[in-house]
Amino acid sequence: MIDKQQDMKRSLDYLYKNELELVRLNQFVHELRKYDLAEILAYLADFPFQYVLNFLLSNPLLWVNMKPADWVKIMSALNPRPKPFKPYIEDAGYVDIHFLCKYVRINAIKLYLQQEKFTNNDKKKLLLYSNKVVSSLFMDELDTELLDGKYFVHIGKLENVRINLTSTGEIKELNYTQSELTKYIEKELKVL
Amino acid sequence: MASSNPHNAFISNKFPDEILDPFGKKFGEVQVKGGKAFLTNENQIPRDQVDFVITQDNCLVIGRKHTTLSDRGDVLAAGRLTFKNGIIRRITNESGHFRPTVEEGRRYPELFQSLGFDLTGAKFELYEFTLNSNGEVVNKSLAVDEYLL
Repeated sequence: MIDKQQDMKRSLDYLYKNELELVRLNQFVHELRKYDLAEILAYLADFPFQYVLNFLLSNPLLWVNMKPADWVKIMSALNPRPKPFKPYIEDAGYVDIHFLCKYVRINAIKLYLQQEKFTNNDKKKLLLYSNKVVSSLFMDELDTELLDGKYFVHIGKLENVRINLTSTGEIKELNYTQSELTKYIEKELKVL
Repeated sequence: MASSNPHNAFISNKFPDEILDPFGKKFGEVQVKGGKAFLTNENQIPRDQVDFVITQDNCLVIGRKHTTLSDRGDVLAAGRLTFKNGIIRRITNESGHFRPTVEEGRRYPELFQSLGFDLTGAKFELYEFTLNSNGEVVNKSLAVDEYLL
C-alpha cells in the first residue's frame, strides 16, 4: 500500500517536472488510473492551482464515470481545507470546487455543506474561499472555446457528466448568476 | 503616482522576504516570430493558462508562481496568460504577490505590443483586489473585461 502511494507520488512529481515536454498528459492516463483520484488530488493540493486544474481538464478518464459519492470522497480527502486567504489567490486545496462549479456546472458548495461529517470550520473556510474567487467559478466564451477535446476535455463530455451527476437529485445544477451565487454564499456564511 | 512610461513603472513584489515556493518554475522567455509566440529555449508554448511577468529588462517570462518568475524582484507586469496555437488569447492581472492595480494593468497592452505581440482579439481582464490586514487577497472582482482591438 505504501509502495503504491510512493509510486503515485513519484509519477505525479515526474509529470509536474516534465509538464512542458508532456504537453499531452493523456499518454499517462493509464498509469494514473491505477491510483485513487482522491489520493492524487490530496497529494496535488500543494501544487500550483492552475496546473492541478489543467491536470483534471486534460485527463477526463480519471473522473468521467464518477458518482456523487466519489466526489464527496474527494472533498473529504481535501479536508482539512487550507486557509482561505493566502498571498496567492487560487489554491489547489479547493480545486474540486473550481472544477465542479465552473466546468461541470453543479453546486459543489451546496454538496459540501450537506456533508454532516465535515466540520463547521472547514465549511466556513470553503465559503470564505468561494466568496473570494466567485468570479472565477463561471466560464466565459474563451473557456468554452478551449474545451474542444484536443488538449482539454470536450465540453459535451462535461455536459454528460453533469447530467449523470444530477440525475439522482442528490446534486443540483449550478444555475446561479455570479451575484446570485455571492448572495447564496453570504447567506450560508450567516447560518454557520 | 504611476509613471506614464510603462517601461519605467515597476510593480512591487508585496512579499519580497517570502521564501520561493518549491513548486515555482520557469518555462522560459517568450518572444515572437512570424506573429507567433515561442519559448527561446525551444520548449513548446503550453496551451493553457500560465503565470507571467515582464521583468524590469523587458523580458516576458512564463511559468508557475510569479515570485519565481521575477526572482522575487519587482516587475513591469504580472498576471496570467492564455495561449492558443502560439497566440495570446487572454491577459489578466491576477497575481497575489504583485497585486497589480487596474491602473497598472492598463499598461499591459502597450508593454506586450512593444515586445512585438499582436493582441488583436485577445481578452483583457483586470481585477480589483480587496485585501485583509495581512495584505492577503480576500476578494477579487472583475473591473475590466474587454476584447483588445
